[in-house]
Amino acid sequence: MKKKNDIYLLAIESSCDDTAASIIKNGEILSNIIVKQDDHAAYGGVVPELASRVHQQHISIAVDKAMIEAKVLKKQLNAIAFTRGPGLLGSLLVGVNFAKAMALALDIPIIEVHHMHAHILAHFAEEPKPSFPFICLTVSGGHTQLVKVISPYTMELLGQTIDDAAGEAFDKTGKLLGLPYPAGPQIDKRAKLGKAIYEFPIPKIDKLDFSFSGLKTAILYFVQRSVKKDPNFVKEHINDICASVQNTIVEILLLKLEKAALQENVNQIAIAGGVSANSELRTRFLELCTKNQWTGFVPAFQYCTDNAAMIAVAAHYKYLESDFATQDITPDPRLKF
Amino acid sequence: MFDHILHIKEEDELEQIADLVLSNYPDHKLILLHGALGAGKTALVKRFLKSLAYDGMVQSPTYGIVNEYNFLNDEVEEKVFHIDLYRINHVSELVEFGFEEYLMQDARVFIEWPDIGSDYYPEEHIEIHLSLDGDKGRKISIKANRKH
Repeated sequence: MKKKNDIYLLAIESSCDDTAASIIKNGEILSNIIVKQDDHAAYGGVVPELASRVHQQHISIAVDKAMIEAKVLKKQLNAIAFTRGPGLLGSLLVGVNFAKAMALALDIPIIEVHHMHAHILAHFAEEPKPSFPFICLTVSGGHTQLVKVISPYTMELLGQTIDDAAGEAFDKTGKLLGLPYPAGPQIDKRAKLGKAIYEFPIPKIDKLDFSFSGLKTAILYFVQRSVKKDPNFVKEHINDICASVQNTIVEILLLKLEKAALQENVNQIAIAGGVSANSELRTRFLELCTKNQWTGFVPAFQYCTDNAAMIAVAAHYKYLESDFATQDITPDPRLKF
Repeated sequence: MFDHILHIKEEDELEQIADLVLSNYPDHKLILLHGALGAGKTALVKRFLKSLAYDGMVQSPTYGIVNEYNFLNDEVEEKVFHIDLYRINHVSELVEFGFEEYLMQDARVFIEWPDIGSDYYPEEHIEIHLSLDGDKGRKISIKANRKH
């Protein structure tokens, strides 16, 4: 039975490769479904056009599963939320149009959610939840951002990458080392078997911004030099190279996170986004928190990578403010923070 | 076949490359950038945008495929598309994200990993090939293709 004041929302996320749907009741996640797009590994990356087609095939399945697992009926829904951007246009279109059509049929409002805001608000999917204000380092394949979170509605961008995202740095350096896609988890796995004995430069970037493109070039030269001496060098030392690359990326991220926390004098610190699933980043982040006497927040794995539960949490806050979108809304691949 | 071949030692010298192309070929609106991962394609586009008087941030377009910049250059409105076809595997995907429409607009267009789009390029365009050169440097080869 639906009580008068219960708030049930369906949330849809389709900004990149996976299709996801989630049901949230009064701010509590009831289901969190991700339909993976495994075809990608064969192509060595996310294939944009393929992505949008597969989203079309997967979206009904994802929504059905989310409703069934949550034991929620369509007529119980109060609103439908979707990722408006940033992301790939073709992929976003599938989610936005599905949400609009379903809401129109059910005669309920729609809620637009910013993908990067949602990554941060994933911290409110379950306990422990940070208190405001807190600093969040959001790291994924397409983004690297340092954000001061003042409330669920007010966030201030303190710094961001000036070239490649951290996830892109993992993917591209992995490719330079001949690892299969996605290279992030591969580097993580191999790094555990190796030691960070090679040094790559830490870029000197102003303020709270990041840079990862120089690392690519440094690794390119490193590989070239080493292979000249010993053609099997990369193959034989892959674990140590991976450990060194990962160590450098984590170092670049945490140096700026520490700087941001000290500058803003905030002691509630969080990480979010797909790259926060990286085991070394998680471990060293928590060590940094202990050292500085911060309270550190790391989301559960299922809330790190792209998921619809985080869209649902963000939507719940918007629902409380009656912050709805109109039916003429369109996706925005480069949606501003 | 190349019109210019240059060797640079430092990243800062990319500015000369951008200035050379912009002053010698002001009407060539399409610039294709060839080179391996880490060769400096995005870094060079960054220099081009700086030489065109854009002072904001230039991020990698790999994830989002197209980055768009609109700004004033000497009181003239300038539109720039920075496109990366790295993640495009099939020609049919170009249509999906509106590749042709980007090329048809009155804008300066920079394209990284341009090979897969070769059927769509007008005759008049610049090709820039970047490669590693020696211990720290880069070799940059430039070819200006003209209308026949």
